[in-house]
Amino acid sequence: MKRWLVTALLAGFAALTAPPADAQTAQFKGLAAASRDLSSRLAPRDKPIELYDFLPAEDLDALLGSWAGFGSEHNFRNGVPNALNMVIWHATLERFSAAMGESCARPRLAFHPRFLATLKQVCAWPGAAAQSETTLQEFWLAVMGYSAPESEYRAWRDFFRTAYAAKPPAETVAAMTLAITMNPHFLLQQ
Amino acid sequence: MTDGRRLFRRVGSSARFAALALAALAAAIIAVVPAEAQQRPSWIDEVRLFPAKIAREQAWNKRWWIEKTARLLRGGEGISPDDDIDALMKLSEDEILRRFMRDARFGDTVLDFNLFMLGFKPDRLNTGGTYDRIAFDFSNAVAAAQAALDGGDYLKLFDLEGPLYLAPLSQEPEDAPTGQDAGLTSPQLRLKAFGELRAAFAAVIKIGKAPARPNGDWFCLQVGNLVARREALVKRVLRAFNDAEVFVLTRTQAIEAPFEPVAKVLAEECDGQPEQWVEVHLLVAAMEQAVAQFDKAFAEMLKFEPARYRPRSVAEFRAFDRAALPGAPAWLAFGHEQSIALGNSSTNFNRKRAAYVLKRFFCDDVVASPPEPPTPHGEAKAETSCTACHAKLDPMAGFFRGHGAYFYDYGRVPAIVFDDLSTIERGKYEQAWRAPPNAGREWNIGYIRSASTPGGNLYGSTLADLSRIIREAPEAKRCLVKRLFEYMVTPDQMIDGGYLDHLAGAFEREAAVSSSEALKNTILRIAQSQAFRQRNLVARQCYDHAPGTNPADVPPCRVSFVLKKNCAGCHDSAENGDGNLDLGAWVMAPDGRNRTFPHWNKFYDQVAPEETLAKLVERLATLDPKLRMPKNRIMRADERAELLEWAQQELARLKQRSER
Repeated sequence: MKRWLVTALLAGFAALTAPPADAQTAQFKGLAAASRDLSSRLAPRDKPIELYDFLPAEDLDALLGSWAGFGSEHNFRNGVPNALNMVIWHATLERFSAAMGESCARPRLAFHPRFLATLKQVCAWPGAAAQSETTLQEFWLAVMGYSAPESEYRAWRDFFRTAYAAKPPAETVAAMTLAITMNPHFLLQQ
Repeated sequence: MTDGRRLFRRVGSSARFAALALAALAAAIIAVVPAEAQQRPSWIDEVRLFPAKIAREQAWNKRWWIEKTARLLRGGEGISPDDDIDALMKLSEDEILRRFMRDARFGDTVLDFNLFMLGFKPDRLNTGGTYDRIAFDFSNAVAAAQAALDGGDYLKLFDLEGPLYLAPLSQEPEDAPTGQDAGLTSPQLRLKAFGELRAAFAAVIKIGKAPARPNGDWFCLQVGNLVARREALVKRVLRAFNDAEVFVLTRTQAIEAPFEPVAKVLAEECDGQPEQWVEVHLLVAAMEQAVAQFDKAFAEMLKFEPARYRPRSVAEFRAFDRAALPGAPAWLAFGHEQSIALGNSSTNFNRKRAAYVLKRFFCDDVVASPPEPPTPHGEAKAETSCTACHAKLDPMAGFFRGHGAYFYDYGRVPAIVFDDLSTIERGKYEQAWRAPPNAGREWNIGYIRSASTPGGNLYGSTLADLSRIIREAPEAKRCLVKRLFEYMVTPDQMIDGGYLDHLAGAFEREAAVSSSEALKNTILRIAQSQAFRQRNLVARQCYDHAPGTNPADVPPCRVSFVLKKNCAGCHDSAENGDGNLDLGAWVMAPDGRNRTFPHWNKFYDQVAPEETLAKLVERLATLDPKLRMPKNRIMRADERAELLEWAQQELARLKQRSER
């Protein structure tokens, strides 16, 4: 009886610490792939977005999941999330998101005209039009595409409608972009 | 008294303490439910909106699939604001896939996959529409990608000799030009370098063509000086090129080779001849011929200047006209990067290249997964483990016996130079691959399927033979399909062997008619597979099975391949197999609840699954050579660990279930 109870307790604690069933298991897609995704969605074809330009230091892209190499066969390396590459991703995407927020005043990046129109609408935050379902979904889809399930969008939308209800547009757009790009559905291979 | 003791005393007994702890644990579990769960239950919305919600989710998922497919088939470019996704939503999956495969960017996808297959996938093929150098470096990959676009022979990927694709020439020199070259761009420097080489020849030709015949000895001296300056002149030309371009110029001998006819005529006319017998016009003609050859090669090369050559798609990649090169040599598909990655040292004897070919074209990784030893049970382990790999590697290495450092072809010279700069007399070197007398063939070179049953082996001698063997071997097509699945789904995703056979069989049948169509159809099948549709894959799970297969009748996918490879050869039947055990089947256990391997006891009754698994664990874990399985055979450590872990987990699961 005693042993059974101890086993049950251990199993219970293990269940508590185990990741939830829907935890993402894939590796990072890498900086090049993330840049390509953002370029397709936000930028004109001839002026791609280069997340490399937002890295906190040169050559850190190799730590974010990469096929690159020379002189030996290429394998995908450093794609498993860890404390270090999460910090680099965060630092990079925070800088990128800040550029997106600053683009409310003057575009810091070359944007596709259609995205620019969406951005302009969101930059009217906290106005009602900026908080509308249409505008927010357009912005979400423009940055995330359909990579995440709709429930992720709803959680994101509700959070910004409440927590950022009175925040200025540049700060909000930067935070919105960071929240989308740091989402595992954006960062991980699918 | 400590707090714990005080608490324990208050509780009264260990059993009561444990019960309380369980209750606390249950409370903790309830407490970690997210706050949102305490709001209105979501099922209220779901019940009301059920039909609409399902339809909406399906639509969302289809959009996700379209975006994923677009990204896959258009060289990484997903849905952009220029795409009409609503129009795509109205199409069937087949139509969507076919539409994306008609896009010019599909060439990028095929080329990227080809590089993945060859083991050299880059992060990106192009940046802002400008292709990176690596995109051009693997000529068979480019030729196959172009063939896939225009309905040609996609299996050119297996051709180890073929066209040469040159990247646009460099814009900036690798080292900043100095002295009189300072400030010149690479294109300017190339023109200058070509001009210098021509001028060096023209100066001597001018003397030979002067109205008054020059003194024969003196003219021989001038021509001799020119030939003696060959190395220096070649070096002067190469300063205008980057490493990858120098590699091409060196392998094709575009600059060095035209000197050779001049040196030959020089020897004929000037060695030991009296002055008056020197045929000046023959020397002049040889030099003019060399200049004409330079002009031809340079003119072709200049077509690749970035100002003139800027391909915007794989279809626009242009093959170098090899007729412009001395001897119009066939181009070996192993390009600049492969030549560095796959060096051949004086002790390696091309085995690295052999392992590469086996791994990349046959999915036979002899380094990571040593093959079955050809010798019977009972030999020393070290001996069998060496033989196991070398029986496959060495004959494959023989195909490269003429290729030394950087895959340079030493087939026409008496010695071979290795990447470690050692040299060896070629005849002596090639002895390593001479077939023994009475073998019925000159060389012991080929693709060895099994060292113990040589009937299925495919022998040859040249790289053309190897290309033919790869093209004909079903293993290579199966490997290609496996890599395509890995490329489209994820590289470490498990694939059911039966499903892979099903895909590979279809590919092989269709490739007999059109290999490019076979490729597209296979892409279509994988894009519609369950694995491709998963948002969050479990790497060790198989999502697809061959038509008509009941996954419940075969051992779990996670271990079926390991069992088939290492165990099922002996344990192949409960009636006659070793230990009355069949590790290739998966049947209902006597308890009617669990599945297990067919395993009979001495009364021909099915053994309980727990007992079978316990035995499996014991035989895998023991270090006693008499008991350790597989008997007298090598099993990869990771495969042993995987099988052991699975068996232990399965055992624990059965125990848990029986206790419930």
